[in-house]
Amino acid sequence: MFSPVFLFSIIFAYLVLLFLIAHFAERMDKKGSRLVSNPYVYSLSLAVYCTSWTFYGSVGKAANAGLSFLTIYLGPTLMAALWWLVLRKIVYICKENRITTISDFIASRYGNSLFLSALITFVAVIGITPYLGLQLKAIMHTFSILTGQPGGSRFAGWTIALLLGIFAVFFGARRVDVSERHSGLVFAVAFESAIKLIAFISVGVFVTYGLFNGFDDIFDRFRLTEFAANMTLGEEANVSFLEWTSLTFLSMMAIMFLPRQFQVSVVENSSEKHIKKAMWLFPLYLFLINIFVLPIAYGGLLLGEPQNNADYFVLSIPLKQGVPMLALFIFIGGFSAATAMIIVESLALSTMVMNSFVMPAVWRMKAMKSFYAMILNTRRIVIIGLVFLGYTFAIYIGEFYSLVNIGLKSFEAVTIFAPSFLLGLYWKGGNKKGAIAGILVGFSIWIYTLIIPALLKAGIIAEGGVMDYIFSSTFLNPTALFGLKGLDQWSHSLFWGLLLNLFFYVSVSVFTKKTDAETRQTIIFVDSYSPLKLGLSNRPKSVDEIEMILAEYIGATGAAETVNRFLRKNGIARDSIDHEWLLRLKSEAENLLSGALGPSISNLIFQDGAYLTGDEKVRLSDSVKRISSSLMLSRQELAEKNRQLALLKEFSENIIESIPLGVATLDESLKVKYWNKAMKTIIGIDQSDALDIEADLLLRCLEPDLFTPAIREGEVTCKRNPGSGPQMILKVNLSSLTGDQAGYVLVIEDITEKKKIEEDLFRTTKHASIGRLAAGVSHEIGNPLASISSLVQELLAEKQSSFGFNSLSTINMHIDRIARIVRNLGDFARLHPRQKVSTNLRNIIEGTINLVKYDKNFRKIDINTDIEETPEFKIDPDQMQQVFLNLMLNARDAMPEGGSISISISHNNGYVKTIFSDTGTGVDYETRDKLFDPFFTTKGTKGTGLGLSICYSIIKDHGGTIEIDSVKDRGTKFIIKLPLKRELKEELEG
Amino acid sequence: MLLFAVGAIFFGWPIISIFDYNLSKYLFLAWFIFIVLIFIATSYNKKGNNGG
Repeated sequence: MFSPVFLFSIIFAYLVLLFLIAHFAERMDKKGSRLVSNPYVYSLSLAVYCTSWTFYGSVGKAANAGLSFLTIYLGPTLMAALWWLVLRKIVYICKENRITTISDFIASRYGNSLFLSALITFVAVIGITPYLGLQLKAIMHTFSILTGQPGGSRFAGWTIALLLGIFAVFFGARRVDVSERHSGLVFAVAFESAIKLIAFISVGVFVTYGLFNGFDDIFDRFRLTEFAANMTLGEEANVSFLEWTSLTFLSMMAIMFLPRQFQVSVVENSSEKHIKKAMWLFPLYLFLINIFVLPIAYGGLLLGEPQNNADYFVLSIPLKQGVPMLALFIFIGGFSAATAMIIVESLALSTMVMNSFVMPAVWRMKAMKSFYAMILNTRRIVIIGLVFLGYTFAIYIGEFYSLVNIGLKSFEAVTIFAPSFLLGLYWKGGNKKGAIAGILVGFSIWIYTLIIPALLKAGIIAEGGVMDYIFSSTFLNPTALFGLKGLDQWSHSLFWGLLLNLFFYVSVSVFTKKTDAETRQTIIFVDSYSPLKLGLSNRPKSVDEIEMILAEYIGATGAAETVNRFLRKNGIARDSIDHEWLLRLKSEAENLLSGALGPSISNLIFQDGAYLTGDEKVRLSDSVKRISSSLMLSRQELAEKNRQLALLKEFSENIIESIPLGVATLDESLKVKYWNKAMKTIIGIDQSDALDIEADLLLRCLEPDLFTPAIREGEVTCKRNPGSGPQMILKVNLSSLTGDQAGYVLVIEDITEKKKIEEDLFRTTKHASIGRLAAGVSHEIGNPLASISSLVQELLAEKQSSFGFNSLSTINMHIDRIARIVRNLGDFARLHPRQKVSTNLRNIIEGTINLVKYDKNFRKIDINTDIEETPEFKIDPDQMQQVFLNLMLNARDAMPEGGSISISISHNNGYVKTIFSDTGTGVDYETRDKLFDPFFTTKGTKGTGLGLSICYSIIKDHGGTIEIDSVKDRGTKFIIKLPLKRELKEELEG
Repeated sequence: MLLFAVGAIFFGWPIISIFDYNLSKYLFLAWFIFIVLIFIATSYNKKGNNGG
């Protein structure tokens, strides 16, 4: 056993931890973190459904009534399958209309009926208070079990109720605008859901595997006991199939209509997408928390625990088995389950009470002094008041009933809302009178069939007299109403309650008319996803009138700003606004006030006849301005988030703008919607010129056609001639945008340089291979050829016939040609081993010019030089002269009718640049690419095709580059770049 | 909607009446399968489902 002081310390420490977690989460949320706004936290927060009833009561129910406890979780699982249809629509409507409670939702659907809102709130408070009491009862009882002192539990309950009330006030009622999300509170609830799940599974594992040998062991042994009927359903078991079905239906309704579930699933929802994940995560949570219910219940009975104490098996078993620390952890788990429910439920109910009772009362009494402070303080008092109402119930009535009995009464109570809520979402025929009639009848049946018998049992209603009469009556008996016998109490109450509720809702709706306001709201709710189709109300008459009404509450400046912003946003002129837009403006103005005052009172403000005296207007205006200031704070937070979002957007854009890849987005018709800077660099078109232009007009490739006939998705290489510049090679990737956006993303990379390097590498490799081949060929052919040549020379020296001489001369000529080829091959093969010495390039050029200037074929050619003084650097002078000579001879061959050769030498950036240009025939694009290939020649049999290959190899061997720029019939230019400090590089590499 | 109907059938009478003492095993198995089906259905509908 633990001392009360120790246990209080634990509770206090836990609440402090909870407070810190909530505070931390709230701060993270303000910073824009997704810690709170994510589907996992949302799903865990939905598990506020699992209260101490689940934690303790499920085991109690399983021990007493077998499998029927599962209906409480199978119902929500079934309902979750419909959430994408139902819950999503509810969330959408609530966000659009700033609705924050279930009473406001139903009241708003039926024309913002204040009476209906009050009626629903009244039913909810009456129906849910026992449920709140159930939680406190569980806390008090478990406190007694752990301390072994039943006397102190009331004080513990009182203190804990106060602490929880303060916690709910702190995180739920710090602002007046209740339409804001309570991120800290939601995260704390999610944390508590995790704690109670871990705690329950811990005790489950302890019982199942610590005290028994697993599930089968427990089940097999239990089957032989007197309680074996609890393993089945039906006539022989403790639960009928009808009760099973009724309970499943009740829990389906509970997950939708319990005020706390409405709070976490609708009000606290930050994204519709979270619903989709919660549809399976939440049922999975329910599944996990129920896995060990049966083993604990059956195990407890097998261990001899009393069946009537089964609600607390999870505590009593570890205590009796001598594991007090586990019992303490279980207590914390149960405490988590209870506190989460109390906090969220009291918050949700307080909002309902405020919007349905307090605000209208303030309005009608015109008690508007210190309006802001009064609203906030009243809300805080209501929260604490509701918690203590539950405490009172737990003290005076709760002890007569099991946890499950109390919880199910609340389930039956909220099912009263089902017809007007669900049919109101999809059936346009339902009206306010029908809803009121249905709810009144449903509530009456609930009181009559469930609460009166309960009060009688608790002794609050005395037996005898009228009670004896009605209970003995065939027709009026609350447990067998209208003579209907044989049903369990839940099925009986549900049957009559739902039947009569539906009957009155439908029949009264069919036989009575709707008001204009109801018709308008019906359209908003039933056709929620469609554009608003209004036009039935004849009020208000003008924009000025709306502005004037709004000005009374938020001031003339605020009203003018609101109205002008609305007109500007929708592009409407104040003078020419039509009736439909006027109604939308009115709706916007109502929404503005409904966040603080509730939709009913906000609607009331805009009704005719809601006039105030001048003094009242001033005071109310001051108060609402303060509320607006509070809303302004929220707007500042929103602005901060917007700023963070803008920073994130800027960062993302910066990345896209900085990458060296061209990125563009296209819409479905291939029009450019985004065009980054790199795109401009690559394609040469400014963003302003590219936007909204079809991409195939901007990006035309030589091959292939990118966008026609069908769009090519994937990666292609595209050759593009941008006009005056050199040809570009682009890698183009076109892919569809993912998600909801339609269109394409186009990514372009300029790979011209990369391709050039690849080609250089390929050519160098080819030259090396051919060089090896040439060395072998020149050696193997050169030697026999020299011998043949000598013999032919000797034969020619001897006297020959005319035929013989001519033949030998021809042979000799061809031998010369072969020898020249072999010599060239030898030159090609012997390029690398030469010695490099410091040389001035000017001297080599001048030496080369001297070699050719007396050649008769150069007579018609002018040789012009423009040679800068360049420093000496290490090269092979013979090889370099061979390069220059080859280039000059080629130039000569290209100008058979004469022309000019210009030679220039310059140096900068560590390179010496030599340019040979001629005015010859030039070559076309295809030929230009092949000129450096070995054995490629444009001179027919006159050339060996090795001259330029040799030049290429020599320049590469010197670490330089040789490029050709030639236009057909306009001449050719060779550009040679040689590094000045190659020797230094070679030393370093060596 | 179809999923809900499937669940209502598998968790309701008369199917649950045929399992006798193995009912709890059946219910937990069917429950888990039902959750997996919801998971598959929601994952399958992720792309562009706005209908409701």
